Amino acid sequence: MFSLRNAVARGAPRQCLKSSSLLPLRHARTFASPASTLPTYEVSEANGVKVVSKDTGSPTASLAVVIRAGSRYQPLPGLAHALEHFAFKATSKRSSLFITREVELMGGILETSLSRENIVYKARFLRGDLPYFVELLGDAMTKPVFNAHEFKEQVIPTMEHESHVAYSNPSYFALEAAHAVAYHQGLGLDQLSYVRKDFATREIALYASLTFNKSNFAVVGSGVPHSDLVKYTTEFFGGAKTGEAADAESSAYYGGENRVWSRAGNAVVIAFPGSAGGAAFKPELSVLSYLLGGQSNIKWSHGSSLVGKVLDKYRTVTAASKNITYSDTGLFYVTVAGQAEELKNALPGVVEAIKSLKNVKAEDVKRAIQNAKFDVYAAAEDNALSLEAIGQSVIATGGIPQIEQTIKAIEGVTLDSVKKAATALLANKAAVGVVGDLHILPYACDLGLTV
Amino acid sequence: MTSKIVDRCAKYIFARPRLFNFLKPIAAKYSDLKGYRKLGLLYEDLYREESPTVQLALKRLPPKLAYDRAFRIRRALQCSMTHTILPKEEWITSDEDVPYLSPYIEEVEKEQEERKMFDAMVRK
Repeated sequence: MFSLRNAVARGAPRQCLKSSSLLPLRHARTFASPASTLPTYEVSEANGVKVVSKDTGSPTASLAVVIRAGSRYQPLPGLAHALEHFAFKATSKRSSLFITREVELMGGILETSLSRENIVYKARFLRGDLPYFVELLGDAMTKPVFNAHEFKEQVIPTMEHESHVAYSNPSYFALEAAHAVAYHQGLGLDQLSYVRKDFATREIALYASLTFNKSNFAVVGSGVPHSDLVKYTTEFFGGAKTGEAADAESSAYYGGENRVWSRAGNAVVIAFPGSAGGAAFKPELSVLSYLLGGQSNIKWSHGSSLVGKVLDKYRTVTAASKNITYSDTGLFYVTVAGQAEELKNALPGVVEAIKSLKNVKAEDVKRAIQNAKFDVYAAAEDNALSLEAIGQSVIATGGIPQIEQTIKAIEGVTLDSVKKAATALLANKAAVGVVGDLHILPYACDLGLTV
Repeated sequence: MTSKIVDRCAKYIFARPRLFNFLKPIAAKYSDLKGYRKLGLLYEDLYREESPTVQLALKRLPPKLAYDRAFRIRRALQCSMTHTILPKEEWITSDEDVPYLSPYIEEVEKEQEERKMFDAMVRK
């Protein structure tokens, strides 16, 4: 009985797949070709405020205010972090509870983030609610009230918690350590202050009044009609002060090694001077970071990038390479994290991989270019991604390269230009941050790096 | 903090200048007779502090006010234990007897009201 049924049923699913009318399966490999409707960035000024947006036409939208007030501009350690945490607290119009409840009712999401360069206040919402959220962000920028009790009861505990969580992550800690030796002052100083926070609401308010001015922030929208955004920005950001853009210390690159004990885990960051963002962006460095890789695009595999191949042998070790772009400079780095012993064994291979960037193969470059293009397109489609980078570019240069231009720049990368960029990169001293069990983790010079 | 009846009475009196002027000296005398000023206390030092609202308000006092409050209460305790009152020049005058705590209590109460309002809200 069973054997008969099996014999009848055998091949049925395959038969199903074959009928092309039901499931048109195409096995021909198609490369990413530019979609016909790529969103374009529109930049304009509304009442002196820089506004940039792209309309993806999706039912949800994102809106961000990018303020050039990140940790490199702060006069006191931790001040930028505190100002970031004061986002969406009481304004002279609404209390913080009022804001929370109202946004919950509209199904919106409010987020903030802090980097060395920027503070970002971000809202995500249904497309039709644009006016409300422009008003909300406008209030946050023009009518903040820095209540002492909110600072004590809400801001300080969340700040403490966030910095504690961040420093419990060895990869984060190692990147901070690498920044410290790479830049010393300015960009080199800690993003979150773990040790000392000597200020009160008066200093925070002062910092806000210095940085919340029209030449120092940009309103970035995604998934919103540009004309509407300009209209509402004119209305709700009109009260912002005029002033100068924040001035940062020069970001000279030094390089060196920084070793820190930590119980949280082990991580090593190997960094080199990278590329700035915006118009000055060098696509070669982006391609180099994809060449080096380490992060996996395919689940349960290390991938076939240069670092990925090294890590195949080490179960606990993970890696990621990236080029962080700042307004005037950038940092190209690889983070390697894992168990101390395995990390120690994996590191020589990782350093070899970094050095082998000088003589990469053409097909690897092609793969890296495809990866880079995918990420640019993905970010362009998404409303919530890359708003900070857009805002940063607009504040610094007044413009933003269109997506097509970025893609063209990436496609223009050749084997020779990658090799040239890699040679230039590796001619610099490395900035190495080592965090974890220093009894085991090796010194940079023993790995063959110049620091 | 103050009950609704007291609030209403106060409003009634404030709205009528004649009545106010008549009652004011009597009120001042009454406050003096209560005697807490002779122990160096302010009226709002006597507020019952065993409630979450007042506890939170006390936490929000600026450091200087909080220090002064603690000092006054200790001084009054000392007086009470030794069954004495302060020398006359240290008595609190009616000008010094200001409401320093009630603004903070009102702020906390307002927040609680708002929270209650939102918790009981129905979306139509």
